[in-house]
Amino acid sequence: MIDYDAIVIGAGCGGLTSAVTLAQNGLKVLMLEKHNVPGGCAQSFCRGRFEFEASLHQLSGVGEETNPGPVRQLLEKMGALDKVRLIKEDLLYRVKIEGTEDISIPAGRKDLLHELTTQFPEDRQEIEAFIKFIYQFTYERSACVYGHDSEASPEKYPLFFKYGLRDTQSVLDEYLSNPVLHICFGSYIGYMGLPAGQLPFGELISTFLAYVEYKPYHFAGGSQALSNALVSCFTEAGGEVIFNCAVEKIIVEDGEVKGVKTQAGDQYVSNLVISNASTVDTYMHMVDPDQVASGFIDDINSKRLGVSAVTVYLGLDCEASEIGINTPLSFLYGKGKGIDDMYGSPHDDAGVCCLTCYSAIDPGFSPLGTSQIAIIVLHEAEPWLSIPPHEYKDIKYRYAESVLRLVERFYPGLRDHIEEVDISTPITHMRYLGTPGGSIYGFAPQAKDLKMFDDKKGPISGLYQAGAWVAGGGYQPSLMSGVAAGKAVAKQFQRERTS
Amino acid sequence: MSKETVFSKLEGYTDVFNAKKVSRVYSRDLSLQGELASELVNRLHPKKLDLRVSLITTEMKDVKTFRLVSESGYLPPFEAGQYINLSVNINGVVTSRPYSVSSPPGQVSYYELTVKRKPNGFVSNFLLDGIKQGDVLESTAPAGEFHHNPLFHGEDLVMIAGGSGITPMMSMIRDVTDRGLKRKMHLFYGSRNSDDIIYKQELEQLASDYENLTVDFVMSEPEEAYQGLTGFIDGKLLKNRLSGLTKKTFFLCGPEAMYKFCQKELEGLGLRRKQVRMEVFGPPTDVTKLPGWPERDESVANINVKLADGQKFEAPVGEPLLNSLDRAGLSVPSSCHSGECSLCRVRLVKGKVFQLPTTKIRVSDHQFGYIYSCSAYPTEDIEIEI
Repeated sequence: MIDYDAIVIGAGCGGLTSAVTLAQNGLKVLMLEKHNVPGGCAQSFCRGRFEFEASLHQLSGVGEETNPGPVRQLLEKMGALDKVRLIKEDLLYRVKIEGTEDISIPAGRKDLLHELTTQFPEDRQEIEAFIKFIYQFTYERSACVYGHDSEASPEKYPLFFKYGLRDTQSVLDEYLSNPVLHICFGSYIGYMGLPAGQLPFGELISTFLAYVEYKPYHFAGGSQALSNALVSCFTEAGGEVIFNCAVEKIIVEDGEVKGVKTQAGDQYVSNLVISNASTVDTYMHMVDPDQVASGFIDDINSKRLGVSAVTVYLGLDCEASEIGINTPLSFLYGKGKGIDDMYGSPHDDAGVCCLTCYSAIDPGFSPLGTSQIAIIVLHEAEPWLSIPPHEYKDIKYRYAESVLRLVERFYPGLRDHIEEVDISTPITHMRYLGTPGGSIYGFAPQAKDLKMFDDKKGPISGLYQAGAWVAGGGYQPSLMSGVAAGKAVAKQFQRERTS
Repeated sequence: MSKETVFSKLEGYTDVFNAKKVSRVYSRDLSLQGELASELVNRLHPKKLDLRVSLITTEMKDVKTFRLVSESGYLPPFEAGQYINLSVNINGVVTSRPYSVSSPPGQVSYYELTVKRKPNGFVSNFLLDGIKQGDVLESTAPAGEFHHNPLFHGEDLVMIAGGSGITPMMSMIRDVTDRGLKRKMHLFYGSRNSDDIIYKQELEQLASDYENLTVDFVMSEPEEAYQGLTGFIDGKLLKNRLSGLTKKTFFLCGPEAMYKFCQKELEGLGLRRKQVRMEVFGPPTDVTKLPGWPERDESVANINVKLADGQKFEAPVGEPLLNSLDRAGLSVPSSCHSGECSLCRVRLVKGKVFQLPTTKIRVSDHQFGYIYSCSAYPTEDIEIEI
């Protein structure tokens, strides 16, 4: 048994940044990862001559060097910025509605306003009012939720206090009468994981504005390059990482963390542990139930598991522009479909999808003369869980077929160029992420579970969490949550050492 | 003012507060959801299988088929063409090799592996000579990318097999005939002579029973009485026997030499890359003969390998690092043994290895010094992290 100042369970985005933060603060840190490759969601995999990005469709919060966002600052501070190459996109996305619309949504407030009012001159007033509103609302929301303004009140922040808990659909209905504009502003619902009638408006629109202001980014070599770079920062700072090493138990005595036990039966001692595993796994499987107050378990069970997804990965034997794909990210809407149709089911046909063409971001994403594409539709895990194992493959292929048919309606000729295909489903996410329900974004962001209502402190002394299950889904929140957890643990470590 | 009271002034707060109370009463046990999910994942992709040899059939000299049943009573489904990675303990050395499943996926009560003796084959010799009915072997669940994909392979297939490369094809053929699928298949099976053809009778029978299956045996050293196709499976022969090349998908599986030859021949036919699917097929017989193998002092036949934790062992030049790790009792996870699955990824801290050019290595893995040990050959003393 070896003693560590801190142990990090899982090398996903949150685990990685917490491990780097701790090691760079001088702690002796051990990171344990059950897979052979770091990253969690932030990984890539090879098929034929292609290397497929597993999950990153756009990175938020980076910003330009002159106006760095939190993610750029974080990477710079860790020394990871020198180890990766960032690639900027100027467009948020393109919205294509079958047979009618083809609208580009640019980054930058001015460009956004210009583009939309040019495309929809009759809606000019509403568009102007809405953009003004979302900026003011988001400013007020930040001041209250993140800025912790002690003088916050409905008088000082009227928009936040009025709309802070409203669902997305009702706000879109109130401000925009043209349903196409709902699609233009609301397509990032695919990054959130709840239908518009349930998703708090603030969650969607703050994400939207984060991309408008800081622009979307990518890493050359994909998100695996980020994960490998962070591991490298970690080991350079003296951290120790063990792959293929799943943690089975977090050892807790009298409400205090004592260490971890791996599946192979090894024990590692530390009174500070950061778990990058799901909240469900952490508190309901790794920690003995009798060590967790039942109220805390009730709280976990009252939440809803976030959504999972089906992704169809394509390697094409032509340049994407040859079949008309010139934009990095497009949302494709079949006839009569809306933002909520971003949720699919294995037994239906796909009606809306999000298509990322990596080769349109940077030609380095695939060999010369080829292209790499990922098409994603959100799926709840439930219907997949009731598919008998021997029928799984056929249902997976049938659904992917419907996705390809949908995309073909926008980009005819795509099918003839397919050289490689792979498909991931909620089952795949359960397998590789180990999350209940194959959730890709942690818990569903229901209004009642918003972070501002949450008592952040866990019930066990020395046990912290990092990643989507505490931060909300997505790369930026996960990366940042790791830093926060790392800082908190480093602080407790110093406190205990001086006392 | 505490945060709680500030946010309680939000419009709709009472509703949200009530919703929270209700959801705590009408909650579901999420830990069960997690367990249900992992049970399902285990059914599709169990971490390991314990397989008992229930029947051994001698197909011909130096070729046996092993029928394997599950000790737990359950076998996960697979796609015709996939392999399992079989672990064996040979005189204390725990090592593993991938073998294609030759039985069809519809046969849910067992997997069959057909194993051909390799000259000096450490594992194939052990299986052929040392395994008996009732023995239990551990393996991974079926995996691999060499299988028909309905999304882009079409329904008109050409299969080119050499030697034991017939085994994944056999599963694909049996799958189609068992299920009565309409999929068209034309098999070209290269052998030295008639005595060399595995599954000869079954293939002839199936070809005469099923309209959509054509079987061409091609002999390179035929016996005198032989009347059929001879020589190698080259472009000319394929062109003569096939029509409408542009709509077909070609599946290729065989020994190293056949790949080199057929790949060129297929290119010569003007096929698109997407039309040719090749099975990965283990390490080369002699890596030192490959282009790119560095000039080195050949009198040094052993390499010192040091691990980050200080452990040391010697590895013979020309052996995949993964196998040397197995011999040293330092096994790392593995599956494909062909540089495809990346399970055997380790980090090279010091020294040089020859990484097979066919290795499918991630760009950033390469950048940060990771190697895939099944297809990495140390060429000087190295230090690694496993």
